[in-house]
Amino acid sequence: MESTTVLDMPKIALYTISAEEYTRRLVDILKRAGKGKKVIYLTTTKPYSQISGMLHEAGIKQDNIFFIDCVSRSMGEKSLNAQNCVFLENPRNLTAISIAINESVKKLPGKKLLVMDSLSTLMLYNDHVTMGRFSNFVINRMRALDVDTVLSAFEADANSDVLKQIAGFVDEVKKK
Amino acid sequence: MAPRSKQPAQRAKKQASSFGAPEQAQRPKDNEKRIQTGIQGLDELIEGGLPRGGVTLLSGHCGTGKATFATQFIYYGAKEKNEPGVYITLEEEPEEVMGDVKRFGWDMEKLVKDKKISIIKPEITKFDTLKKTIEDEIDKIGAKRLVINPFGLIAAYFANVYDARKALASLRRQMQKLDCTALVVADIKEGEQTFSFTGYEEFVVTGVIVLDLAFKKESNSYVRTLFVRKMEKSNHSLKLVPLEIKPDGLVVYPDAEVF
Ligand SMILES: Nc1ncnc2c1ncn2[C@@H]1O[C@H](COP(=O)(O)OP(=O)(O)OP(=O)(O)O)[C@@H](O)[C@H]1O
Ligand SMILES: [Mg+2]
Repeated sequence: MESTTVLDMPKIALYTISAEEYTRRLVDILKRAGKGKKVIYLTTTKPYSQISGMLHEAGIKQDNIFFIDCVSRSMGEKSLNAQNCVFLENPRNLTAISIAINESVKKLPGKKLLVMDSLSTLMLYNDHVTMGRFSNFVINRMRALDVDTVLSAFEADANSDVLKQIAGFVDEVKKK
Repeated sequence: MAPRSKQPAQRAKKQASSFGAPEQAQRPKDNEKRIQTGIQGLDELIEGGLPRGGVTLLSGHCGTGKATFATQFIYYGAKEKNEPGVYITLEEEPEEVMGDVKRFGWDMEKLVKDKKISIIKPEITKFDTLKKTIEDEIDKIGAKRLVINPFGLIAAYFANVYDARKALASLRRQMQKLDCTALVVADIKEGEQTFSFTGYEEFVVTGVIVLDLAFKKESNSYVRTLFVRKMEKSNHSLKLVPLEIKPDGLVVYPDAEVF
């Protein structure tokens, strides 16, 4: 009985990844976890154009990926326009991020995966109480909407209070 | 053993209902007793809309979106629900009211021409005269919606707060009689602990919706918020919800959260 329930649950995983290999490893995870799903990719580390380029190099089709880019606008890029991407002002505004995640998840049909790249950046700007609240919100919301979720962070942050707390909310914690 | 395929649906249902707005808000029982606001995301917080024939106070500090909200309420009613609306503007000229919202793609002029919307700027001399003007305007186009922006100017006109309060109470009776749903804008000064000019208007009305800007030190900026302080006959949400002014108007996000 137990195992059946677990199998049917959307999977929420926390990955801690070494900084040097970070994006490459994350692309690997996306390739596996995103198979047959619509993917919502939230980036707070690199601009959309760069992530998109790396996915292209890795041979990953992007028709099924929707991006939430929190970087490009804060870098001062002006003419931002992409059909499969929404550009937020900066990675500090967790309210705007929560709206963007919610709206894009609701908009996309079928089985979905959310990739949050990364908690480490959000931790730079937000205290651990706020980060705890925010992570808990995302996790509960994705469970309610039946969306698999990959939360990623730099390995160096693995022992931070925030990640230790989040580890308690997720289904699995993995070191990559 | 329960069929495996049923489990996710059951679980999702259970969690969705325990999250966010009260359960009842999803299934308004008395739809005909509600007036849809036209603000995307708001009606589900208040059991489907504003109580019909009531007076709702729309309170907020400067720049929180009160005028936009009020115009959207009137525009939506006239355009989408065949519910004509009267907009009483006490400060701005009618041309300004119409001009301000052109960017949202709202063609108020057309609806004014078609007698679906009436925008007037009456002099405030006597409250009874104003009430008569309002009633005449409502009758002329068969209005189902009314906006007064801002009510503070009317309240300030009275010598004491009791008369201001009585005036609003009589407006409430008038709306009920005319089966017209009113939205009354209340400016709040920064630092005030009330929802209106005298601090008593909020007790007299059917509902109070508060718009605000919350300061966030993390991003060194403000976040727009909305919260339903009061709504008679409604099991309304008490959640502080984020709000955005989008290219086509105000949107409330009941599933998102203010961080
Ligand atoms: N097209 C737009 N897109 C985004 N935001 C807008 C747009 N137009 C106006 N705003 C925002 O809305 C604010 C004003 O809205 P509005 O006039 O509805 O507020 P208000 O509460 O009535 O203000 P006041 O109390 O000063 O009369 C502006 O200060 C601006 O921040
Ligand atoms: Mg105004």
